[in-house]
Amino acid sequence: MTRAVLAVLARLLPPGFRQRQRAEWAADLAELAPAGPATRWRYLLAAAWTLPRLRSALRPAGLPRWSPPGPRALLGRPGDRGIVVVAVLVSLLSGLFGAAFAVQAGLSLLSAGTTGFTGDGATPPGLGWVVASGAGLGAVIGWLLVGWAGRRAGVGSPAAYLAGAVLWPALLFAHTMLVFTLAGLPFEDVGVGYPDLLWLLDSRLWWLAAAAVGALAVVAVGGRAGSANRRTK
Amino acid sequence: MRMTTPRLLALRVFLDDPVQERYGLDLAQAAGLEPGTVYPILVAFETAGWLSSREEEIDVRAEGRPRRRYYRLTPTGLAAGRDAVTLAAQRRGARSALRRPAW
Repeated sequence: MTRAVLAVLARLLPPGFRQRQRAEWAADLAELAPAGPATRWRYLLAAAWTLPRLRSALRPAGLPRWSPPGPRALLGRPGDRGIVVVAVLVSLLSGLFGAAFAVQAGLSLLSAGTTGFTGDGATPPGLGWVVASGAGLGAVIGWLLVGWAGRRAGVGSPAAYLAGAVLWPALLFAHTMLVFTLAGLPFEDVGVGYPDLLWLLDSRLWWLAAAAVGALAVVAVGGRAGSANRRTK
Repeated sequence: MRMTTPRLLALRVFLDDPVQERYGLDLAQAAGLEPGTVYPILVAFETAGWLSSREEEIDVRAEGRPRRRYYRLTPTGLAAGRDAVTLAAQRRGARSALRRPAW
């Protein structure tokens, strides 16, 4: 267990320093072993408590500034893995919303004057192309928005952290709901077509779109605050 | 460098025997500091050039523990450390004089 805690503590240090400090902690813990587990846990607690000071002491040594992975990676730099994942997830969702919007627009255009779904459930011909276009357009807009936010957000800026804290849970929840909705579809009304499905998802997930837009707005307003910290390649 | 009480305590241990090498836990016990809290101090001193460090040369398997890192005062650290301890003592003296009752 103490080895696992050591691994976590070491993980929070810069890569160049990680192994060195982990070895020092491990050597100390080995020496403290006869004193019992309480002493070892007290040691680990003290090490964890002073970890921020250790990290700040490392900074003037010319080592790169470092922030915990997660929110920073999420809206840090376009090259980060986190932001690519988020861009994909946002694109999927924005594509869905684009499709849902296109369904409503397409129905009003193609259903000869009716503004809602066709009464007999028949899908107007040509609606598929409208929906596909809406989905594609939504996905591209989502991708571009995340890329823009990623470029704008300063590494480790409060805006990036806040946006990450809002966006990650919203995305994970949205995709979980999406999976459950699609998985439960065979047990629902057999007459459900893709326009109905898109309407269903849109009505359930609209508030997540609001969360995502809110997160991106946070970056738009406060993203530049951390631009001074931005790393140069 | 800002001198806090733990930093002064650690510095005093090094200054007591400037040629002796110390490792983290050993220093903490000698200075009366909580074990595990000395590494930010050691890194700050090393970054400032006051300490140099080297990895212990042992057979890890034979010893059954990871290598320790030993720290030692550099000539710069020796001079700067003495100045810092003297300055801290002067400040403490001045502070206690101020607090002394006037009567």
